[in-house]
Amino acid sequence: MPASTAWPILLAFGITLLFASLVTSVGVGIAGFLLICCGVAGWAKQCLPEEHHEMIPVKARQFTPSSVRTQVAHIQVSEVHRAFLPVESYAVTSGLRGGIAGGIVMIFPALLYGYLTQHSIWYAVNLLGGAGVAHWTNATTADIAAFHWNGLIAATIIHAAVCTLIGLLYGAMLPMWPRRPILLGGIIAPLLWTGLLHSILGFVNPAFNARIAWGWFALSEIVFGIVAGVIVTRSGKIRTHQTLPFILRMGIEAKEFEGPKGDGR
Amino acid sequence: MSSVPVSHPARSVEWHLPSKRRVGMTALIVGESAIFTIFVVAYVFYMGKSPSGPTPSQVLDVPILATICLLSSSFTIWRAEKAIEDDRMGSFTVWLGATIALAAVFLTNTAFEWKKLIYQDGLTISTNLFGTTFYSLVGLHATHVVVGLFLLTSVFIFSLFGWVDSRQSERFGVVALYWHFVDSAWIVVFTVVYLI
Repeated sequence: MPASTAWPILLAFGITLLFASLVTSVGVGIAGFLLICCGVAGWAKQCLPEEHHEMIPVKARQFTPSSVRTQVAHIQVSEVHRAFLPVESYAVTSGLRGGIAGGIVMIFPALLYGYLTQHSIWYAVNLLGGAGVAHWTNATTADIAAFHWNGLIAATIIHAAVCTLIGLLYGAMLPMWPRRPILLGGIIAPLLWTGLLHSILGFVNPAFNARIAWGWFALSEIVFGIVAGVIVTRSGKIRTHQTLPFILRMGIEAKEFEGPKGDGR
Repeated sequence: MSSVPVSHPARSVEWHLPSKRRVGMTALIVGESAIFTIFVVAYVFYMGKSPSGPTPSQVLDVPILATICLLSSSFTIWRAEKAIEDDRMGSFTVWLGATIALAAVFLTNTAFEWKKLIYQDGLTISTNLFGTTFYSLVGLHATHVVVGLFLLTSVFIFSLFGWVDSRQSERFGVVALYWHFVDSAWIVVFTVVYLI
């Protein structure tokens, strides 16, 4: 075995003292330097020209494996088959439908927020749409609360694209957590999404970040998630088979495709 | 899901585990390069933004001799590497001593340059933005030279005691790798500080 050594610890302590002298005194630095020299010399003496070794006697030990369990249960299944878990999950298209439905419903709390705080349903629309309109810099509250065609178009495009993409992402995540889609989509995902946006929106869109009401934002997201989760739950499950063609996993019925004939447990 | 067994093709070249010493030093160099990059970017970013003097063109002289010495030390340490690989320990000690001497000349030159800047030109680390970034960048490099000089001097002393031979050639190669990095870093620092 390589011989044990304490010199590296002394060297490390010396380096620590040397750097500590930058904020203490020269004397600490000198002590550190001396310890470094001693550490290097002592360590080198143990490694040069040959590394020191020490002999450790090896004691042979008899070991007999044993267990109190005397019986083993074997899985009664053909070895050529594989199990896919979970057995059933929601189709990807159910997540897409949930995203679209949630996107429609979450418009109402957003409009309500604009109406209650600024007496204008266009406030929330323009806040979202303003991110896509370049000349909206340093806009006043009255500007944002007024109706603007470009703001409405930009907000509609952004909202539709984001809801569709999140719905697709939701559908893709469902097989990982198929038992509680409302918990996943209604609470966990909105909280994560809101937290992520809260941390990055200041860099992405400072004007939006300065005006956003995070409580209302989280409420809208939760409404989105709950609606999406309910739609998914009512969509019905399909069998989980990773080997199925993509069309079948999407939930589209096609007679020419058949699933594998195995015992999907 | 089905699987098809395939035979593994016979390897024509025997693979060896990379030297852990070289991997460790390479990782250190990558990390140190990041630190140098930060200091170089800071120097370039604040270049010409000091509201008051002195400016680089007023006080800096191009350290030609020091640069020649430091860059030459890469050649001498390479010769030392070759010597220890061939177990020519006398030659190794001479080339290593030459490397130490060249590094010492570089550090001495830097010390005199700083003495002139501080006492004659009145440029300290807190004088202006140029002083702050200059002493930070050149000081960072000088610190690396000091560490390298300490390592080289240690090996030199060990070789005088007869503790070093060709069995330590790989270890010395790691020290030489660090020294080449210090030289490479100086090329960047020299270009940014004294030429641009």
